[in-house]
Amino acid sequence: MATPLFELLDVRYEYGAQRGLQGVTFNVPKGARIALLGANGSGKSTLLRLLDGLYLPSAGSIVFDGVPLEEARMEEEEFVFYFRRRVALLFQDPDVQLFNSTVFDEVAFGPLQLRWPKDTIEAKVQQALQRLEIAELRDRSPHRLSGGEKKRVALASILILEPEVLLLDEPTGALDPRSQSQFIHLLEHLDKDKTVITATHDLDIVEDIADYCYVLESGRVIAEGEPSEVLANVTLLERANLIHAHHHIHGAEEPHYHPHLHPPHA
Amino acid sequence: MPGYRRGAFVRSTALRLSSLLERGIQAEELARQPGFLQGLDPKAKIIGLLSLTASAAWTRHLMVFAFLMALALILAAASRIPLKVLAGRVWAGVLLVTGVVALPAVFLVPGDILYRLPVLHWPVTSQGISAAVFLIARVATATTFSALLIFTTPWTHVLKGLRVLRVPVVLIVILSMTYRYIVLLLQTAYEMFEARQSRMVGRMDAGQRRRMVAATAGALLSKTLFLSEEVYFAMRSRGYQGDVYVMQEFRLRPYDWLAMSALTATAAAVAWVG
Repeated sequence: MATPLFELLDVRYEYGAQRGLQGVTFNVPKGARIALLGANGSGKSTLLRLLDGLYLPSAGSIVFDGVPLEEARMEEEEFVFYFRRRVALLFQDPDVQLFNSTVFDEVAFGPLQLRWPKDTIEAKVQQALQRLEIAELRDRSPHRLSGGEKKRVALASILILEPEVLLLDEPTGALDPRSQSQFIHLLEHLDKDKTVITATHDLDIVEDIADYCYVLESGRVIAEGEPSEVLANVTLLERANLIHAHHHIHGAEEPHYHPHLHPPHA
Repeated sequence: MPGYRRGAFVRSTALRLSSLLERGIQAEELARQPGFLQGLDPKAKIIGLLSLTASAAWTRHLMVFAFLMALALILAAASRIPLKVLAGRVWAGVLLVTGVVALPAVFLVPGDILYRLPVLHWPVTSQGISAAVFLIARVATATTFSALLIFTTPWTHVLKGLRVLRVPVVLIVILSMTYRYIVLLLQTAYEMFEARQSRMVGRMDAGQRRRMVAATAGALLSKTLFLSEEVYFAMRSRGYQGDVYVMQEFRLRPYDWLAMSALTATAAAVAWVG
């Protein structure tokens, strides 16, 4: 097993009286492609925010490359520069992430905060926009873009930082099939040494984006394994509310009703 | 109390929100089309047009107002700003708002009585009319120059121009984000009214309308608070630590210097003539 980049030990997180995460423990090796699977409210987004240092655990610990993510540490400017350069989060809702007036300003925001030289920023923004095939959107306002374009701009705004770790929160949510397929193609062609942790409940994309999965339910990890194992476990997927039983009519000679499961790769 | 058709009230509110969004889009389209003012550097435009706006405050002669308004119309024509846009968005509002403020002056300013209102017997004085006309002319002229700046400059460039003119970065960031999220908020409000409209039949009385507006305002406030927290997280996630760093790209060309000098010299001359 490669050296862990993230080490999570009995991580708990509470929103007031509500429990977000209840004792999550696992390691993330460098270069791993991990999927966090779970229904809405299972704790996936909270876990990503903890990994990005935006939230701090109520109990337990998160260690990034040997350094514990603690409040005092996250207030040290030097460490924040080092951490933000290496770890980036793509938010689920691009409208949250796109707060600048133009696409150029949006993509340049991160590098400017990390005090990159302006000539470098200019060149890197252009490269990032070309890589994501959105160079023509450079001077457009982000709020006038389509859902797919917004996602690309949001991705460009974090890829420009060339982070080692990408945390992706429902990256294909609200995308049409073509944009979804283009987005997955982009993820597949990222550098192989990047660590990518994706939170999703879209089982159709899991095998394309991950080589290991954690299944969450009510803030706990209830199962883990390779995508093929997890996706074949219908009972587990049903328990995690990732698939469900229902009645429908087959196009057989005689229509009939029966409880029927739709596992994604049956 | 007469009832409103539910659909009519909700539809008209949704239409007003939609029209506000369209106006924003149209203003940005005007700003991106080719034209005299559009071709100037934002700093030159801000200094030139704002000095003309300020000069309107010094003016005490109707002829000078007429000159300033003629200059504004020439600049608008050279920048392809349709008159109906200025009339609908600027002058109508000025007449409505300033007219209401100026109206009492017609009766309250003492002076030579020209006419008395029947029944009420309020005096209309020449000095009162003069005060009202000056107030409206002053506001109309100043607003027209300000509107020309907004109609011919993308909002992002206005902000960049202000940055170069040493307006504090924090203020610029607040303005920029306010503009960005006002559009999102308008869109959200529009969608909320549309969603409501799709589920309503029959009439709605005044109480129901008040409750609906209050509920919508509450929901929007709650969404705004949530959004502000989320945006803060998104900024922190990309390295924001309280200070804002920006790119500055604008450099004045000889053409910009020339235009800015001409506009500010005109403003100075107007202020001197008074």
